Amino acid sequence: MVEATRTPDGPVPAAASEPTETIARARSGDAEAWGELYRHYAAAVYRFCRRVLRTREDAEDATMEIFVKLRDKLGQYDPERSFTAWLYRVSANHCWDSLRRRRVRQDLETEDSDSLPLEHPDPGQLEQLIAQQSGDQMRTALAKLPERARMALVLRYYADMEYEEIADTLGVRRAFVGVVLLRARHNLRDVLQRTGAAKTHGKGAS
Amino acid sequence: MNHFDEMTCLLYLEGELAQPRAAELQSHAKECAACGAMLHALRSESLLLTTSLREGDDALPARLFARQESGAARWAWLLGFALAGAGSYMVWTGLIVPWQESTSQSGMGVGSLLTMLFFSGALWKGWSSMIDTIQAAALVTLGVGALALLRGRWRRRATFAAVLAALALLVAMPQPASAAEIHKGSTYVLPGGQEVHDDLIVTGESIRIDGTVDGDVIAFGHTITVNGHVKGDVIGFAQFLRVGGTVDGNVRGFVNTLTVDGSVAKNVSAFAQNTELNSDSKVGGSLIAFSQECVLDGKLGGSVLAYDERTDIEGTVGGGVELHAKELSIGSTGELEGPVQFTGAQAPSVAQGAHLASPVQFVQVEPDENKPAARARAAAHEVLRYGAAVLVGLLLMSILPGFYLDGVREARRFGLAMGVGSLSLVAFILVIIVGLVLLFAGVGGALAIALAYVPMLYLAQIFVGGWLGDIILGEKAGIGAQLGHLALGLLIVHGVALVPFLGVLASGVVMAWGAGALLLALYHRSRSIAAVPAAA
Repeated sequence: MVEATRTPDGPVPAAASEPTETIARARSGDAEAWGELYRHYAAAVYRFCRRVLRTREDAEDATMEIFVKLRDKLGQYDPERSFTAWLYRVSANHCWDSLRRRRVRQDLETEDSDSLPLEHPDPGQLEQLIAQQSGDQMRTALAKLPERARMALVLRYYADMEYEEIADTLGVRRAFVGVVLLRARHNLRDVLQRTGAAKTHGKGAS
Repeated sequence: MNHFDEMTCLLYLEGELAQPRAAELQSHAKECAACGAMLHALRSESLLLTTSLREGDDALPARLFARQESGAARWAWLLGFALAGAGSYMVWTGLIVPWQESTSQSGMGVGSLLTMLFFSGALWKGWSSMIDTIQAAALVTLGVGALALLRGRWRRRATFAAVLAALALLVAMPQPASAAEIHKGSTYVLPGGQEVHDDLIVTGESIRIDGTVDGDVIAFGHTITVNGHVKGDVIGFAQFLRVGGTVDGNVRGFVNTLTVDGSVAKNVSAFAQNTELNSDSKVGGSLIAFSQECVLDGKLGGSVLAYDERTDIEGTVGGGVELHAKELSIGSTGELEGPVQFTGAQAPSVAQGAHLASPVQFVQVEPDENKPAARARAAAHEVLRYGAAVLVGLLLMSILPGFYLDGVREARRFGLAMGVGSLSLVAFILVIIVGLVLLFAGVGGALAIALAYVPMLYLAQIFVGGWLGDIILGEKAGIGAQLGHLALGLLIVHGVALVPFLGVLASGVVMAWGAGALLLALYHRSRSIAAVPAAA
């Protein structure tokens, strides 16, 4: 049954298939190579932004701004490391900055609730809840989470970031990342339960 | 045996649990059903998160595609600007120049009406004499800026004190010898027999000039009385402005009541509720009046251009009369030596003894806006405007489809677009006013900006209309569907505009909103040119 923690296919091609040669040319200022890189990665960056930010418009704007940044920062990229991971870090930092700028208050609220104790879930019920969900329902529920919770889940389970990198991006201690993720999961379960309950009341919705 | 908590289980699954403890958990879970189930559930949750986050195809929006054929887009922009330029030129030659000519033909031989309206160079002279003050203010600003830069070293209180000291110094400084005399105070009187050999700028509650001013008088006050002799112009902003003496130049009043008893060698222009040229008055030039009630009892050498509620002519008018008012009555003592054109609601009443060079040319206009005919006309105009808007929308869609979509997209962010739009509209109007009032050479420039207003407002309603159509019918690709949506959205926008009161409000909102969307779209376009490379 379910054994693997990580899915084998990443959101973008794995490091082995990265266009190393194009990246090198783009780093040396080749405009055509930059265009190629853009075509190769624009969709991935857009999809990432779409997962993290609330509206399509915000995601589009963020994508463009991230590419402006990437172009400026390309010189700082270390070719020894994964380009995709670097791309996600730049994107994550940009999105998180823009979220923080906009929603300072809500952040403070989530930080306040950090000290509340979490209830130990019943594994059987959790399995049942998970089995009922479709991808669409999950994405709708994710969109309803507080910014930091959503961001943490996307960084971990979509962009495949290490705890260290997540801590860096969100500006929390590394030891705290697990707590953020667990709280985010609890948040998500609450939302799923609520929408599930609403659905059994008003039956027949798609 | 103790169970492991959820946090520890999660950390274990993520490979974040340190070794002895991880091994402990592993061996424990083999025997403990509860902990095994917990690990399994968390793992399923991780998997569900990953799969659901990674599926769900979000196609890259058209705006983010690498730009195709950037050359064609450049041509489209050029064409757009050329069309806009041609349109502006047509408006200029077709509307504004004839209007200027018609006003100058009606006797306003003193250059364009606009220049007249904005009191010519006279106020500018007043301003230029204040330049010393402005320069001093600039110096203070510079000093404050320097202090702000040094703030790291200075304590805040010290900075504050320094600014205060600088201001005090400025106030205490003797007034530099300026080109004009400037007076402030509650009452100002220039006694008879005294002479000011300069322009005179006065502010005060009550201002009286009995003496002689060898220059212009610019006065701001409640009551302004000129009984003496002014060799330049009189420009007054007041509740009451009365000219009883002699003015060798023009009189321009932005007042509640403008009364002329004395003589004015050049023109009189009035933005006033009541404009009265009394029986003793003599005006050498023309009269331009925007007022509610206008009484002409004296002798006027030039012509009359007036927009009033009611006009009474009892005196002499040397030139032609062009009048837009509800009522016109010409008394028995009236003598009109030029042609009289009257556009109004009621037929003019001309008394028996009045002398007219030719009969009054009367054009009747519908007086009541609420009458069915007027309403129908308004509706017909609205339909025309609607058609024009749809046409402009079609043009935009076919020339710059991406830009159209961008604008509609930006309109979705109502709050942001609204904020940017209202700010920019206000700024726009300010630029026009500043351009007109301060920089006289810039009248043309200000007009050009005013002309840019028209396309901007058209684009504004197109973006809002497109957004509205998409909201109602759902988003669809393809120019046909989009045009349909736009047509529907614009229909609603223009339909609402017909509703009394609410319509005006709604139009205002649409303007600000759409203008904001336009500016945001332009901004993001400039960003996208930096970010999105052209396709190979």
